[in-house]
Amino acid sequence: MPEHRQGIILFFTTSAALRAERHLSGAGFKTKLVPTPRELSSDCGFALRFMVAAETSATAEEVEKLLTRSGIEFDAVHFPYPK
Amino acid sequence: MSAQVIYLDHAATSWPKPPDVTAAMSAFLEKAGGNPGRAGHRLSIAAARIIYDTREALAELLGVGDPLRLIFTKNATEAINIVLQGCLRPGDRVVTTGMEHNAVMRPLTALAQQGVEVVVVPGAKDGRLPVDRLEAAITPGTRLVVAAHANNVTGTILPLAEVVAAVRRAGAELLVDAAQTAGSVPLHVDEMGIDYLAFSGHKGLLGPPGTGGLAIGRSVRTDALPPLLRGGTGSRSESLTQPEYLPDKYESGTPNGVGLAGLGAAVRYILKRGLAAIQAHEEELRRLLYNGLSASEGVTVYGNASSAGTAVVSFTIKGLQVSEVGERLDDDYGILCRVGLHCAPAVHRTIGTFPDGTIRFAPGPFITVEEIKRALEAVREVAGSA
Repeated sequence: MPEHRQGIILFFTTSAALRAERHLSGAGFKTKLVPTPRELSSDCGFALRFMVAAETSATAEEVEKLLTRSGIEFDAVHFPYPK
Repeated sequence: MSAQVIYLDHAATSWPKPPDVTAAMSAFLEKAGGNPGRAGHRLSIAAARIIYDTREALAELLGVGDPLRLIFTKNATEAINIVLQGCLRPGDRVVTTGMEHNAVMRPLTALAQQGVEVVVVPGAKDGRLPVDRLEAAITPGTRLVVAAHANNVTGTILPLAEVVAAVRRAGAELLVDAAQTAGSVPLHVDEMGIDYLAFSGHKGLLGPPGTGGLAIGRSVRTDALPPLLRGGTGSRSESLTQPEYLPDKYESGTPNGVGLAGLGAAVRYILKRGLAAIQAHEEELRRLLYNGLSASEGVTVYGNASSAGTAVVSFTIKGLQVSEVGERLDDDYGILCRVGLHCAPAVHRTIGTFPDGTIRFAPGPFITVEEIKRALEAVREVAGSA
């Protein structure tokens, strides 16, 4: 079993990705800005990868809610990713 | 030629800059040289992060809840043009004042030639704007109201809350030209209910030239506001049409990252020193200048000291051309100021100094009381020789 599960969030604008990075790391997530996987989008900017401990029960919906609550617009949350 | 200078041209551009500005700009070039938001590699991300930090710091200073509603431009002029050229169509009514800079008056004059109805509410000779006359001009059906938060000749501050209320009653939108006030006078875009706030990055905000921006109020629907420029944004590359989301819609092409890095450092300096402290200091310098110049023989001071204003004081000396005074202050005393019409012929007509213009003293936050006293002494000497 891996120690962490990974997900990725896609944004319309890199400014939103940076805003989300700040909010999610503030909420205790481990995050990293990465090139957007080509299979998910043709966007040429970057996406936000996040990691949660394998034993936690975090869901994509929870991450979406966290972003929405902070007023951060996003395109999609893929979690877990890669599947 | 005097070796030391007293820089009193802060209303044109700030100098010197806070110490961290230059360091932030070299660090951007040396350590974060990528194209922000275009790639996922570390230098691109580092550049994007620095620009985003500037966006966040400015959003805090200007009271913009969502940093993505802050658009970077190359100056306040570009920000003003985004709104004027984007909003106004032939047949629309726009209300402005007799206290505006050419950054507003020239685009409006061109739009008037295309059939936009431009209504100019005259200001008073002492630099104040009669708000009741402005309110009367903002009739229902007015599309937009454009007003300088403070004009750049007498520094008189517009009572913004009253203007916002009149704009709301008429169902219009408000563009505030904050080129003279951002960084010197408290502003809160969200709480004050401002629709568009155009600002310069290199004046009161103490950043480098080539920086400025537009804050867009939270109630504004931007789908009706086309961008001035279209092009690459680093987002939605598969699409040949401009993205609709902010800030990308209005930020085409590689941004001035090195300038924005400097602007971020400058804004953090302002946040640290405190806007209230900066405003109090500049108010003290303004009072000293106003009172000292008013008491000098042969000197006429414009504007009025009783209403709120920025640290901008305009005057003339009897018997001397303003250009002559400017040259002597520079050569003999190292006092650097701007003389003439200050790109604001409309304001000079209002206060009665067109076409000769005035001598303008505009101290920034690093000018000391001692330097103002030396400047006043120099003016007395020059006036005494006339």
